[in-house]
Amino acid sequence: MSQPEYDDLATQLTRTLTDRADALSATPLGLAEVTGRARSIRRRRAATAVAGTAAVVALLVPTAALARHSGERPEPGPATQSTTPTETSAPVDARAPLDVRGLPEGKPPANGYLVAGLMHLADGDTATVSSRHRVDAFAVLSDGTEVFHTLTDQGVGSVEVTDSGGTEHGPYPAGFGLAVDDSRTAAAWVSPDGQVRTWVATHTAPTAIAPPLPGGAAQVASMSGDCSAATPCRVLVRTTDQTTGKSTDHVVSSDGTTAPADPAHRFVDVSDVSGFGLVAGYTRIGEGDSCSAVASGSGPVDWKTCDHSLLAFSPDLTSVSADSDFRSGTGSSVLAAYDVATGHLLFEHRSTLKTQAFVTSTVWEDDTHLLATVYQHGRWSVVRFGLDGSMEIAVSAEQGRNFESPIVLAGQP
Amino acid sequence: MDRPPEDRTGATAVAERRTARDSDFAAYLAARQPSLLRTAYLLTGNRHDAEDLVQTAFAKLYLSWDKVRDRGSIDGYVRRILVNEHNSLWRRAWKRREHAADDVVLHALEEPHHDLADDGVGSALWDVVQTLPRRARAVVVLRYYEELSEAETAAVLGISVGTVKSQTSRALAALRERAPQTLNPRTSEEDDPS
Repeated sequence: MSQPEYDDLATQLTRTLTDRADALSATPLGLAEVTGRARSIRRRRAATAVAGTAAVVALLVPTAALARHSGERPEPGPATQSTTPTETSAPVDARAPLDVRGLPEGKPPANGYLVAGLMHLADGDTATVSSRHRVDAFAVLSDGTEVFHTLTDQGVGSVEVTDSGGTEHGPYPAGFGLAVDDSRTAAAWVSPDGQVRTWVATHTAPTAIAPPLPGGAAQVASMSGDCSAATPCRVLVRTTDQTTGKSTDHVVSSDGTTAPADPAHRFVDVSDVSGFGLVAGYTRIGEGDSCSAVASGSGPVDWKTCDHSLLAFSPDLTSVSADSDFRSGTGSSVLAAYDVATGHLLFEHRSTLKTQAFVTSTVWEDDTHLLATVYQHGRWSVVRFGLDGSMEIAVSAEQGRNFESPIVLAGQP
Repeated sequence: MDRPPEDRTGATAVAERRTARDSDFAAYLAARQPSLLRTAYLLTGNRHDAEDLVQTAFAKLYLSWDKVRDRGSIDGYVRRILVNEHNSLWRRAWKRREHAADDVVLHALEEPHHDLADDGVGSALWDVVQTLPRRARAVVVLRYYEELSEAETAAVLGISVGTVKSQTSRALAALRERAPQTLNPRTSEEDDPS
């Protein structure tokens, strides 16, 4: 008979475990020890967020629906150019199709990610997130402060902050987007009335960094500088006039000034600006084509491409990410990167009719790697793209609807 | 030039909230740590790792204290932190490196004394429990020490009830296989000349 056997064992098991546990003499644990460990965990999480990256640059996802292009192409560089060898020993095809099936598994994202309400950091540590609404962007600052941009089901944005001491702040009304500075010292968002606010590490309240921007819906795109007196932060913000639909790009600085993102009027839409005068964006958006360019000063643009939309500079400002020049539906069918100095194409992975994959959010993990959430055949993954053309899985596949990634990368807009 | 935060006067209010929060947390810590330490000990098998595990679990709870809006759910929440922390691959690798050299010494010094009135059956069973894989050991501890239901165990471990059932079944089979013969009637019957 099996049941008596089970009961005997279960009874003995309970007795054994209880005896063992009861015999344990406890060493009292004080609040100071717990808070000390908590501070250590916070520091580790913050260090993990910064490790391996001078910055994780938030990328602007162009909102304009663009049509496919014809012409004005720079001479591309070698298709198999390898700038950063990876650990992969097999030859790397920098023009391989965008296909995440069967990719090797790599380390988790150095900047962390969030899925199903659980924040994952590179060291394997996790933390639950219980924000009031769905998190669509988040950042962990250098002191461990967590900044979450959330959206209600109706699309109303707000920002919630948990400071390094564990105290919650907000929610603060917010427009779209959340940007983080290169050193993860500060995060920035814009309120519905056009007021750009930053949260600086170690602070206990947000700071309004300049007078509110005039007119319309606002979206934060990117941020550079650490908001100190020595290196003021510069926040790229786009406002859109609700009547005319015209968008304007501004650079709002923590020194209190606001200026046009491209005073020389070379760009019709600015995608990214750096603290060193680099600008990337669209130079032309036509009915059926578009072109993008990089400029390093106030003069003519340095180089131009009409094959891709340029997105964001790498932390070391040597590369710029790119995706499709024609964005329709929920994502881009291509991901690429260019050499900032020469305009040479470093890699391009394009989806095919067979692979049917597309990219949504993208962030720079370090100077030579991009992380992107990729959808393919009913599953979402985070894929690490090397400038040498390599691809590997950073977060394994999660099932999800094909219009909204269940995975949120730290630093994504 | 940096501008001052908008709410300097709020700093006092924040400090007061933090003090109240710490007081609230300290009361919970004092009340629940003995129980949590016992569970941690059963999971880890030694007091050193158990204390470390409990400290980490409470630290993570502290970091989330303001976010746990339903105070009635805290016990389950911290238990889940504890078990998941114990199961994490990263922790396992780290622990292996840290304690590989002195595992034997630690176990010899820190094993609590226990009643041997059961002719060593409990001691032997405990030894076998320690050989179970971590996930299986967690299932056994939650089911037979914490006396959680299969559904509650599944919720703590973040796995399905079906997985809890299969893990329990496999763990008991392993225990029956390797535990003293008095707990394995099949073997006892085979040995019984009658």
